[in-house]
Order: sequence, then C-alpha cells, then structure tokens
Amino acid sequence: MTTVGAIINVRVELFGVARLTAGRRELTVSLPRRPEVAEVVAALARACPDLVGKVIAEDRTRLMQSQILNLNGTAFVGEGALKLAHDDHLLLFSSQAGG
Amino acid sequence: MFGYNGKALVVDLSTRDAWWEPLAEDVLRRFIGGDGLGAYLLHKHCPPGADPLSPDNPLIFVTSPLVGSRLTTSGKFAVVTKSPLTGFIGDSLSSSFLANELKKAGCDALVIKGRAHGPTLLSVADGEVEFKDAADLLGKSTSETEAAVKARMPRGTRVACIGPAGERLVRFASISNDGGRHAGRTGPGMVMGSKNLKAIAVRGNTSVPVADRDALRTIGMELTRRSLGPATEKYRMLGTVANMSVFNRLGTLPTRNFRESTFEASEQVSGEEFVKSHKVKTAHCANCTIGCTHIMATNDDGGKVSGRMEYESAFALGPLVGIGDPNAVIRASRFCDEMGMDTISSGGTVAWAMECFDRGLLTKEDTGGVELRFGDDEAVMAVLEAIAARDGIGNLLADGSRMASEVVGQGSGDWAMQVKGLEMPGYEPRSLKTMALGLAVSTRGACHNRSSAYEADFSSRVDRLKVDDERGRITMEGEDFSVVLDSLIWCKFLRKAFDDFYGESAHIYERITGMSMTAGELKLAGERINNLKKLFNIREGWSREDDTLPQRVLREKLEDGIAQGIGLSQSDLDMMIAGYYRARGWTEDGLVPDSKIESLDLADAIASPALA
Repeated sequence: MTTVGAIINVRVELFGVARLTAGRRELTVSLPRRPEVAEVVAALARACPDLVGKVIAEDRTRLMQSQILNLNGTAFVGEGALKLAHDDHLLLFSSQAGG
Repeated sequence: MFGYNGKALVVDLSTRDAWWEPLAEDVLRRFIGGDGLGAYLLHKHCPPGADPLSPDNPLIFVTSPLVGSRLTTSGKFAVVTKSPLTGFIGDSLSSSFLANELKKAGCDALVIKGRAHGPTLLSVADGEVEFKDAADLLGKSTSETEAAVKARMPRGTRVACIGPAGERLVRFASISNDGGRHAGRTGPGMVMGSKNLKAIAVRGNTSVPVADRDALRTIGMELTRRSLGPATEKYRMLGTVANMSVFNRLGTLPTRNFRESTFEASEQVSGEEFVKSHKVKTAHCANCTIGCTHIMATNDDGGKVSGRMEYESAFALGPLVGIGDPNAVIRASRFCDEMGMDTISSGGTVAWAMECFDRGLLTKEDTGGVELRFGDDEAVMAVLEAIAARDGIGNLLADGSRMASEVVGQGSGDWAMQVKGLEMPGYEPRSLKTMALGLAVSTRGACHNRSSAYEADFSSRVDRLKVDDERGRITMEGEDFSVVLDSLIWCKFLRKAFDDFYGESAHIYERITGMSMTAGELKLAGERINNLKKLFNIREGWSREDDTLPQRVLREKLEDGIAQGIGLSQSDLDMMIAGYYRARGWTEDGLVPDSKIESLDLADAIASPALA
C-alpha cells in the first residue's frame, strides 16, 4: 500500500472466479482511508470492468451475493465502512466454501 | 400417494428372499427421504450392537420425494448403514441416475440384509429381484464393473458397485455409480463387500406421479434459471477445488497431516491451475444443470490419466501428504476412485503413516521398502496400492488411522487426524472455530457436510479465530439445514439459489407429494432427524468423550500462515460443545431427554429389532 494524501493504494488479491475472470492474480485500487464497501466495489469495477456481471453486480456498488471481501486474511467485510491502515490488503473470493 | 411409492423393498441375501414393507404417509412426512428416512430405517432394521460386518447390519439405499421430479439436482440417493469405520451411523450421499431407477422400480428405499453365499450381483427390475452370480466380476475396478454389469443387463440399467477395496474389506471403501460418483465416507463399500455383494443393477419403468405437475414445471424452470446464476458460478467455473488457494491464504489448508495450515505448493494444485492446465471437460450429475464436475487430465510424460477432481480429493492426496504435483494428485485420486476408496480417508490414513515414518514408528521393514516421506508421490501410490490390496503395510492402513494407531501405539493416536474414526476433511479446525465444533459433534465423525459450520466462519457473522458460546446454536442450525437438504435431497451447491430455503422447499414438497408442509414443519423435521441420528449413536454406545477433536488440534498451536499462533484448547472446545448441547435441549452429557423424544414425535422410531 502506498499513501497519497487521504487516498491510499490497496492491493486486492483475487481468487477463483474473480481471478479467472480478471485474468490476473491481483489488482491495485485507490481508496480513501475509511471507504464504504460500495466505494471499494466501485473502485474494483473501474480497475477491472470484466468483473462486472460475474463478481460485481451491474450497479457497480455491490458484490454479487456469491462473493465476499476479506481484510488481511482475517476479518470478513460486512456492511458499512472499512478502516484501512498501512499495508492492509483485501482478498476477493467466493463466499461459498463448501466442497 | 404422490411423490413416493409408499414402500421399501427388503432383500435378504442369506435366504434370497425379498419382500415389500409399507412406509406410512406419517413416516414419510416426518422423515422426508434420503438421510432422514435412512436413519429411520436403520433404527428399524439394525439390531442394537450389531457388528457392522455381520449379516445383521443393513445396507440401505434411500431415494427421496424429489427423485423423479426432474427438478435440478434432484437425482440423488443416500446410503445408510452402521459404519465399520466409526461404529455409529454411516450415511453417505451420491448423485446418481440409480436413484431415478430405484424409484421407478417401486422403491422409496432398498434395504439389503444378510450375506450372500458367493459373489453376487443383485438385480432389481420393476420390483422383481434376481440374485446373479458375480464371480467373474471379482477384482474388477469400479468402472470395469459398471461397464461389465451394464453389458449383461437390459439397456437403461443403472449400477452401483464396489471395487477391489470393497471386496477386500478396506474399512473406508466406497460405493461407486454413474461412472465415478461415490458414496464414499464412513465405509459403505466395506459393508457391501462383507455381504458378498459386488454390484446392484436397477431398472424401472413406472414413474411416480406428482400432485401438481403444472406447478412443478414452473418451479423447475425457475430453479434451473437460478442454478445457472451467480450462486453457483464458483462450482461451474472451477468446481470445489476452487477452495485450495483461498484456504491456503486464510491458513485453513491442512498440510502434512495437519502439522501446518499452509502449503508452499498450493498454487500448483489450486483450482485455478487445474482449470488452466488440466481441465478437459465439464460433467453434470444426474438431473443437474449446474455442472460442477470438472474432468482433469495429466499433462506430463507419464501415462495419461483423467478423472473428476474435487477439493477434498485434491487436498487429501495433495497438501495433506505433501504432494504439489497436480499430475500425481490426479493419478492418486483416479486410483482411489477405481479401487473404490474414500479419498479423504485414504489421504488421511497415509498422512498418519507418513508421520509415523518420520518419527521412526514405522520403518522400511514395515512398509515393504517404501521410504514413506511427505512429498513422495511414488510412495503415496505404492501405499495406496497396498491398501487396496490389503497387502503388507496396506493391511494395517486399510482399517483407517484410528485403528492403525491403536496397533502401532506409542502415542501415534495423537496425530491420527480423525473424529469417531472418520478422517478429517480439508478444513483446519484451529483457524475455523465454528467448523471445529461441527467436526467434533457430528454424528458421522469428522464431516464438513453434515453441519456446513464453515459457512459462519467464512462470513462476517463470527470471528473464525476465536470461540464464543453462540457457536453451538449456529452449528445446530447448520446441521438442521444440512439434514433437510440431505433428506429432500437437494444438492448443497444449490443452497444459495433459494431466497427462503425452508419456505420454498416446503412449497415444492407440497406440490410433489400433495401432503401439507410448512417451513416450520420442515425445519422441525431437520431437528427431528438429527436427534434420531444421535439416538442411534447413543444406542450403539456413544458417550460424551466421543465428541472431541484429535489431540494435535487441542495441544498444538498453528505455526505458520495467517493464523500462526492460534490454537484451540480443550476448555474452549468444551465450552462450545456445552453450548451446542444446550441449544439442542440435550443434557449436559449430550444425551437426548425423554421430553425431547416426545416433543419430536420420535418414540416409535427408536423401537429396535432384536439381534438375530
């Protein structure tokens, strides 16, 4: 993560459907330090429009119900704002773990 | 009657008798089908204390009200028996066209008792039973057996069979059908083998009517549409093996017999890599529109092998035994399928043996010269072959890690990664605390599917790295949800396609059977069935000590990955188990009180037959 004023660049690791759809293993998105989830999703949609329809809902503010974001591999992202700190990164993968 | 035949076919292989037993509407409505009806029939047909390998132990194939409806994912059966691996209820499910044929042949369930005098092929054609000699099928792999049976039977016949592992009484032998689908866990193939039953061939011509065909057609189209939506995208694009890279990143990928929770070569055996470099085609289960099955092929210079690849097989024959070569994983998985062995228990037992070798408890003298080291794919194949043949070290390992550790002793039970005798699936319990509870209390042993407790851990509902007393209620709700899925029977991969699972499923049940069913009644049926399964285990000697986890999980903290330093203490596990018993309304010792039996209308269902 790099910081430019109030905006930080956050690495987003992609897994499964997101990785295959994007054709890459990670993205970097620019976010405010306390972004709403909708802002994160919108930034992802801008960084990789191919994700829209498969991973990101058409309105570009929500993930598909089958997808989930995780902060640093420990905390799953629910509703509301995220608090991002230096070296934070996000993981994007399917919310269904079964198998 | 709609949606059911209202009867079970009972076959005694010892006497070569067969007869029909009625199944009352009240019984069908209370226990639904699949897993639930199977648990009911197991209580009825299995005498208390029966040896799982004795003729007394029934092997029960059960269909469901959904079978024959043509709804997506509806072609499934449950096989229920007393498990030779756990000594408790053993229930496995498989997608299968055999389920459709069983129902068309007049059976809601096929109860097989006794033991044939010689190798036998049991034929059920429109309810007519024949016992055919199967001596020529002995030694054949599962695919060879299925092909050979189909070749001698009329067109449209469907087959369930065992491979050499079932014949040789490997304790985690599976039952194979539909060219490689397996009812794998808890060892039903060993029970089938103990009955000298090599294969079952089923054909039927009578469709079971449904109460409201027009409504069902509309429902079917809508479900098909949903089954092709985002809720199943992961399964359609990658299959279950998509879990691999995510689990590794989250520190929940059991590696080298659960010594580690990440695997340095996980990307090589990840779903993304399999799809990119090994996938040859997608396959569909019976009546399924999702198509989660991905056929993978080797791409190295060795002999060409292809087969289904699921996460659990890839984990157990990959990271768990330290193998990072996808070609080796494909070969080992296909070998287990062809021999008819559960891949999870196969990998789990080999991983236990590898650790024994590492610690000097097993030597090359014991292994027939095999240097049984983590990461050696040739050693893995050699030992799998020995297990399937019950040859040398394989004879020890063919009884599973718990029994093998009882023979080897010297503390090796501490790293036998099993619960109630069933080897652990690919979910690290120390970094998935709700799953840890689900694995500990499951009636069939270490099973991820009977509680789906991982769902909470992979969400913002809980902190997966910490414990709290809410996990009991969450696990109970997951178990009841799962057993309703397994009784109706829906595929679990369809679960997110429902907006209101209980409400929609109850509505569909009514449209199929014509019997009234509310969401609340269906949910209650889930609780009833799970209590019935628990009551079977109690009858067979279950005690509080059986609900636990391997000592490694309770004594050692994770040393790698994102969950480094995280453990699970005995007291934390006990706290969660106590919360689970409270949520269930059981005693502090985990027993089912009479008041619960009465409120769930179970008194008649637990009346038992006498031992012969």
